Amino acid sequence: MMPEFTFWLPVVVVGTSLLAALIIFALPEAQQRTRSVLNIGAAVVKLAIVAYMVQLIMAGDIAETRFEIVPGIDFLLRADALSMLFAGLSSVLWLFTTLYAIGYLEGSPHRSRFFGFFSLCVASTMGIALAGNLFTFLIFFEMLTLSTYPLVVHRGTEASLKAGRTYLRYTLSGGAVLLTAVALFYGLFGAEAAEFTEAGGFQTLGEGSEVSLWLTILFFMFIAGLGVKAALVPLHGWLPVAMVAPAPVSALLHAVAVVKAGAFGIVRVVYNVYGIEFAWQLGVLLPLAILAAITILWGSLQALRQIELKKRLAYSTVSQVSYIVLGVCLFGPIGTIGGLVHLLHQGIMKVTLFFCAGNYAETLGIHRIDELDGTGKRMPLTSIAFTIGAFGMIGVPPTAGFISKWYLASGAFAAGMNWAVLVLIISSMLNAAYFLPILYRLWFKPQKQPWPDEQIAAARFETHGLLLWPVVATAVFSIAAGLFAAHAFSPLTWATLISVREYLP
Amino acid sequence: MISFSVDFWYAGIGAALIALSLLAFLLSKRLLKKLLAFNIMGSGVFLMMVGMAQTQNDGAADAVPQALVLTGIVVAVSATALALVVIRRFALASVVAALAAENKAAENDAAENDAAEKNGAERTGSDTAVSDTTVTDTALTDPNLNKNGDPQ
Amino acid sequence: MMPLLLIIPLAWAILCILLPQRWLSLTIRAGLLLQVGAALLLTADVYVNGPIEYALGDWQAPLGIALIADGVSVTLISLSAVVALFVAFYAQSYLQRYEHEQTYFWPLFWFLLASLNGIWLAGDLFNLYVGLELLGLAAVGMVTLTGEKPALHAALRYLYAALLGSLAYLAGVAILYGAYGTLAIPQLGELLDANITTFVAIGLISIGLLLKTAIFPFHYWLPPAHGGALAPVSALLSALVVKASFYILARVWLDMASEINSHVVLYSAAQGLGVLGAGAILWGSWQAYKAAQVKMLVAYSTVAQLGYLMLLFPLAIGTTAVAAGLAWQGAMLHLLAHGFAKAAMFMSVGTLVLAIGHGKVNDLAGVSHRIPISLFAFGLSAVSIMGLPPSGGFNAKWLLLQSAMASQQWWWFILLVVGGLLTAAYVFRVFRISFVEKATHEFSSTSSTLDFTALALAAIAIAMGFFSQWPLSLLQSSGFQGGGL
Repeated sequence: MMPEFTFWLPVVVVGTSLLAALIIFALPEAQQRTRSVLNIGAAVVKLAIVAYMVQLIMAGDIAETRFEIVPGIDFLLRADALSMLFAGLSSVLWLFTTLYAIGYLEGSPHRSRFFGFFSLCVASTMGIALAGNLFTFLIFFEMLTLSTYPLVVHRGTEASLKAGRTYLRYTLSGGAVLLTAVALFYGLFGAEAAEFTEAGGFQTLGEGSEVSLWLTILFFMFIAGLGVKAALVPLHGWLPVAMVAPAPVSALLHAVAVVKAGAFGIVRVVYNVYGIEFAWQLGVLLPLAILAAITILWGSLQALRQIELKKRLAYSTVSQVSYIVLGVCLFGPIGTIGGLVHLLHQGIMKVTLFFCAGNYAETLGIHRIDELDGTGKRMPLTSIAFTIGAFGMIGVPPTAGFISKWYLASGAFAAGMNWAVLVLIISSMLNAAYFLPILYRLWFKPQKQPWPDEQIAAARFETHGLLLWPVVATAVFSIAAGLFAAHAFSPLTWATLISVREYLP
Repeated sequence: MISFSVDFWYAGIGAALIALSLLAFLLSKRLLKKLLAFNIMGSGVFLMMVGMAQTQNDGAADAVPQALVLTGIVVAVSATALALVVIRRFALASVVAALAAENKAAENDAAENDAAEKNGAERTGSDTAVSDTTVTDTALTDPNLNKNGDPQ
Repeated sequence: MMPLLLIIPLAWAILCILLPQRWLSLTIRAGLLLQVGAALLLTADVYVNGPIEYALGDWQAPLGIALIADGVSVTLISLSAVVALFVAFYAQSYLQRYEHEQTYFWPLFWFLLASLNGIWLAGDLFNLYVGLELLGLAAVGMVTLTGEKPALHAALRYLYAALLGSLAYLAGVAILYGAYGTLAIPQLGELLDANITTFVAIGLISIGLLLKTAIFPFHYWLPPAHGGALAPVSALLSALVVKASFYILARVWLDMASEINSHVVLYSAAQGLGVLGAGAILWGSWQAYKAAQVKMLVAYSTVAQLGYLMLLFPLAIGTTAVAAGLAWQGAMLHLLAHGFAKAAMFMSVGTLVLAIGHGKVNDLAGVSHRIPISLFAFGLSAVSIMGLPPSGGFNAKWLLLQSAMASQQWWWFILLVVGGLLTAAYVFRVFRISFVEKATHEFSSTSSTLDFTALALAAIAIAMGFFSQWPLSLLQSSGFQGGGL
């Protein structure tokens, strides 16, 4: 009875969103209430199952779904500790983003299509989180590409179609590279090696130099394929362009699902396919770390130059996601903790920031940074949330961002990579340089001109409740993850657990 | 050693027929001629097969190739019938389309000519009558090489 | 069970001519269900008991008609039964607008199904010839249904290509009989010698079949015929009819000639077939990208997709047993996935064209919320056609990639990856426009049967991404498996 039950758990997690998506597609446009109930219900159910699976892992039990899909290759979904990190993040943020999106899209056309594909995206993200081997990972990775395209072009304007085309060019090419890498990997090393195992499938460097050459080439093909979604420079071009999408899409997909799918894939490849020890011996981590460092600095520099709020946030994402990659490359458990915990922290904080940007745009019609003067008075709660998010990005204690940066820096010291510390310091200064002027405008500059396009009048609250409360909630999380970092259920504790398992198999 | 037996002649003539009719099939623009070429090609293949029937066992002819040829002839006849029907309909459709186009052109011309000079209309009418016959003729040529008929 | 698969469609073809119009709908449905039932029963029988032979009317070969059902045949029989089922339901709704065409469509439909089943079950080269001819005639008849000039023109081109192809095939068969005195594929497999006569015969057979399968550069007849026919007809032609001649080609090369196909002549020729496939993929995709009419886009997509099937030959001939096995599985899976997906694609596109009144790609604006289900069906089928996961098309591509690696033929590997991107380029042309908000024309309402039959077929193509082990194990259970595995 019990094993059968856990056999189906991972499928159910993916299936809830999939089923929700299919029903939503079939629902008539006007059935708003049913759709909302279905959306929120699916999100809650998913969250509950993820929580249950976390309990299972704590008890040392791992839910697993496995069946043969083509000869010799299994379709494998497995709820291990690392997958729960990403699954947990996605399911929590999905709930809030769904609430936010219901408020955001109120009264706009094509909501059936939007929420359908939105659920499909989450199903793919869950699949990515739970994938137990490269083949399964690839399936959901590509599914994510396909299901995000309709969301990017959702508005159907010339700009969004153009963004959609750019998005596809990048992601489909990346997907083709990843497919090549995965197919080669299966062909050369077999299905056994492609299964995600703690501490990786390769223990020590083999004798043949040809093998290590292949492994090195494949490693960089993996990085190139995954790096498109993780927005590593110079493969990041699609992300700022894709900001034409509606705010919930930018928030969940571009802050969480898509870029994190790439970063998570890199984590999987380094830790669970190659193994951190082996990757270190192979000498592929240092080039990746340098690439991540370049991305961090380049993203921050580009963010400084942007005058549109969402674009600045987008470049900030480019920079911040590479913290995760950098943390992965710092050889040692502390750096690993820093990278993994940033996967969560960055997600929560960036969602907050994008929600805020969406609120400014939706409530007051503000898109550019110079229009933000004095908004703090008009929208205090949103602005407080934005401030928390920005402080988190800079790494000011006690926000979640501080914890990430602290561990990353300590990890860099421990690994003897002092240059990485320098990168972190410079990047934090750049973060401050592009976020503090915004905060100054929010709180200390008086309002100069009337709001560009005030849509929602100030009533009891500064804006629509469904737009406001998700922001407040994620902002509170951003603080709580920092304040209660030592608590048993904090992201930090979970990341530490994974890190210990990766290094001490 | 080449023995000039009966089956050799069958095969040789069959091959010659196939070669000639293939040439005709590929080079001809006319749909009917192509169809005839196909029929002769079929006969060539059948001849070869009938020739084979003679050789298998001494004296007693092999029944299998003969059965095959019979079946083949039935199939070829039905294919020819279908082709004829389609060609006929295609020709009709072409004529109808061409007539419609001509009529339209004639109307336009007539309208123009009416405005200019009334005598011109008669001349256009006789032109149409002449081009009808040419249209029927081109309709029976291969659409491949017919610029007007090609949809691409 | 086997003769039923021929008798049912032939009987229903006659019934559809004789019965009055008002009984037709119910009769057709009953026939479809019987047909699917017979197909499934036979499949189960073969799966459990292995290959079955049957002499029709108790006439023994060589004069009689011997039927053989092995794993491959029953897989293909199931494919055609299921595709035909959904296409028929679609057609019942679609053809309500075509009163005149309807009277001829149904007899031809059953006739087509009978010839397909005949081909899947045929055990010797001559029965395959008869099946091919009947299939060709039924298919050409279906293309002419609308009676419009372009359709008739396309049908004539198709007919001539088919006739020329059959004669080339027949000439090859005649030579083989002359040299070996038998037409049964298993016997020929044992007897064949690697000599010039055999090569000429196989060459003639192959050219004939390539013409009928519309492999580049013999594809010229396919786009106007498939693109110009009525939507259910296009679906049948692209999903099933061209596969029949490919199936014979595979049987000839991998079953009949399995003992001698590593000979240098045949080996090189197999590589040549692969090059034709590459040409089909590149040229077909490019033409699809340029096509102004959405149905022509889908038709050229068929040209390109048939190219993938051709990769079976270089990957399976003269390589290792592992590579050959993977190639065989990949090609068959591709055949199945493409069958379901392309039928769904033609059906959904047919609905879109019906709704906007004509078929220009650039006029599909606004389709995404007026006819969402058909567009979604198009999307799902496109996923499989593009070879993106999860879909049967992806698993097929995966197997072919693995086969290319196992046989160290990297050029086919690259072709497969590049081909996927090219497909995405033309498919997303349609999506891109469908999301544009400004609709430039009126939409007429369409029946939801049209939407959901297409969706069902597309869903099968996607589901094969998760359950491709089922058809593959059926393929493996018995029958020839390519490369003499």
